[in-house]
Amino acid sequence: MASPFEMSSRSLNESRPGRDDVIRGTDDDAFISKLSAVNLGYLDDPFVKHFVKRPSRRPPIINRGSYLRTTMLDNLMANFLKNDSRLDQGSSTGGAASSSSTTTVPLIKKQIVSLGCGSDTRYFKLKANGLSAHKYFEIDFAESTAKKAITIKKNKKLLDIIADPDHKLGLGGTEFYSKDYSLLSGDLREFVDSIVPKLKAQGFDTSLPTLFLSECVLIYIQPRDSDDIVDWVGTNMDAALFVVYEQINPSDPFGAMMLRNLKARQIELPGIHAYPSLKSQEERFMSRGWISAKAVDMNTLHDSISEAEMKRISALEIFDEVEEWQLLAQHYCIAWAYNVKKDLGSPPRHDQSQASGQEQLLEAGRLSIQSGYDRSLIISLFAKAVQ
Amino acid sequence: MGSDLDRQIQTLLQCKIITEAEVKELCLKAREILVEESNVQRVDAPVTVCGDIHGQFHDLKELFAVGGECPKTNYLFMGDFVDRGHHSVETFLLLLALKVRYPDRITLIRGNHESRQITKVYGFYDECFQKFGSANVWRYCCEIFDYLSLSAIIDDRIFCVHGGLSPSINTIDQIRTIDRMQEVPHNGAMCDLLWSDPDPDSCTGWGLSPRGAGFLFGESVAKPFLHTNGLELIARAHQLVMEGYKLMFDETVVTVWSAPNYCYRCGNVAAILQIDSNLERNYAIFKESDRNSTNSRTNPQREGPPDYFL
Repeated sequence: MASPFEMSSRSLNESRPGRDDVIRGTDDDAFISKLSAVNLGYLDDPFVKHFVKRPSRRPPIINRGSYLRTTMLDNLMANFLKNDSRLDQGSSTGGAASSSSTTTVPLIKKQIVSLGCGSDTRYFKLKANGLSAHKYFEIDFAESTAKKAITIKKNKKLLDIIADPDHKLGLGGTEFYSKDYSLLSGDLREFVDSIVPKLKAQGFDTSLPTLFLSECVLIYIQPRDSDDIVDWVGTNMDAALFVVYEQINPSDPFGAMMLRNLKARQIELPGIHAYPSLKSQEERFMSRGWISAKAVDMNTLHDSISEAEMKRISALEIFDEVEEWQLLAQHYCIAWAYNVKKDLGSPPRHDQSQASGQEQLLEAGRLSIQSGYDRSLIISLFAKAVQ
Repeated sequence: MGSDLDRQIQTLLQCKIITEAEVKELCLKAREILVEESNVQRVDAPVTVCGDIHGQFHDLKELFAVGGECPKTNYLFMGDFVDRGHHSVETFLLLLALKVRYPDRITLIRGNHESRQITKVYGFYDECFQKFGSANVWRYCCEIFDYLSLSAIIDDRIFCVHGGLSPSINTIDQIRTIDRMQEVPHNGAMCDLLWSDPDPDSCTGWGLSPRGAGFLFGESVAKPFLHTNGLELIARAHQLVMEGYKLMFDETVVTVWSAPNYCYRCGNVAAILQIDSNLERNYAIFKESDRNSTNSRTNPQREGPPDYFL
């Protein structure tokens, strides 16, 4: 897509190295936090420790946030990957008309594309739990992927999960290829020109239902660059589910202080002003014609934790940061959106003017299940995943 | 000794630490004073009432700049001197030194963070270890925490406590009978006084606290408590409020919060409650000290930047 900002694009290039190092550093920070949450029993992930060199215990408020974000995204991705038979069973609870869907549902091949994956261990965690994608792609700066590729290459436990004797390193050790897992190096600001060809070379299939994940990633690049990614996915994928976790509300006192503090660490969030609210996070997709979009803040997700689970995590450590937690959680959201090409089947006409995001989501799933086309199956798959 | 103490106060006022031996000596003297105080310490107006400080030393100096120096101004601090901020050691020792030097001009009551268990999680223990190379200073301070009074009453009319009320307590006299010389228990009257919160969404009775200790108390609890004890106001701290103070229940309960930009992250202003000799109230608002930005934000290696999810 032609950028009207050629000049500023160049000036961004000039400032890249230092800024990018800082952004890469945010992965180390996030991963130390994740290991802290694992070590205290918030999270169960035996793979995180392989990617953290200097573990340190984080404050309870950070542990709780790492737990919440990871668990919610884990659940969403697991739902996306679950067997289609479960999908069929699940849809029968959704509405009276759902019995019209077939009882023998074909297995659907699925892909996951993790943008700016950093040290993320979800591929390993999901597969260890029997949840595999047809292809799982991870993309990050070469400096990050090189570190990750060599860690994987040297670790028998990780290689056992990959379970492909023909796995290999590529591009001077900055990439890793195997049957169902590819770690690719590149700059997301050149998604269309440089990342997409790399994906395709590794068997990426635009006709398969694909989950795109951005976990604190798109917000670090200029909106025109992140918009290019969303535009490309919306236009070129037959069926895509996009999941975003990132900061919002930059203008209230807490948000303004957050930007000041991050700036002092040389961390900028260029995307936050383009998508500063739950509404604008949804609009990012709806304005581009996606079928459905919904964004919720971390307080809402925190409230959705079951009583038993809340009891379990409350017992892990003292949590005396109630007001501060609510403030912090107001400034992070998970947004999801899905789109399925219209020529895959007769599209349900979708009225987005009235219903809430959650209602739209359910409605999209319900209408399409009745139509009985492949498209509807895919839509219900997405709707199930984000429930 | 007076000159030694004055010198230590001057050192602490510069955000510098005194020696371990001096801390030990200071704590011994403080203990002699605190052991004589009641669980419900009587305080005469005029007095300036302050909420949580949480080791934000430069902001404490800002507080003194706004409220006046001690002993010129009579102060009541409602606990949570330590944890979270970068200078819990300097903050608590300064307040303690002022207490020893001017025992009738500053009152310190206990917050839920003045506890061995909490300070091990929220920073004071680590800070002591880092600044003195051992846990001795932390131990001396924790012993003093056990001696701190649990509450105060200003001119028989304003009840001051860190957290709030307890279902085990109907009268002020019941507070007087608590054996306070101990670590903060996990439940019971003493725990509740330090942990409870008023619940603005409920006007009925008692509720479970999301903190896992203490209770939520409603208007229907607060007003009878005031009536029974001939009081007009409950002043408490414990909860961050973005505007520095918050009145509830027809102005019968007020939360006072004195840590601006709490944890160098929350973007809030702070307040102190100035009560004159006629019990007229004035809330003085103040912002964070400029020293915070020059120290913590641009020098993350030394003091650690505020955490976010990245």
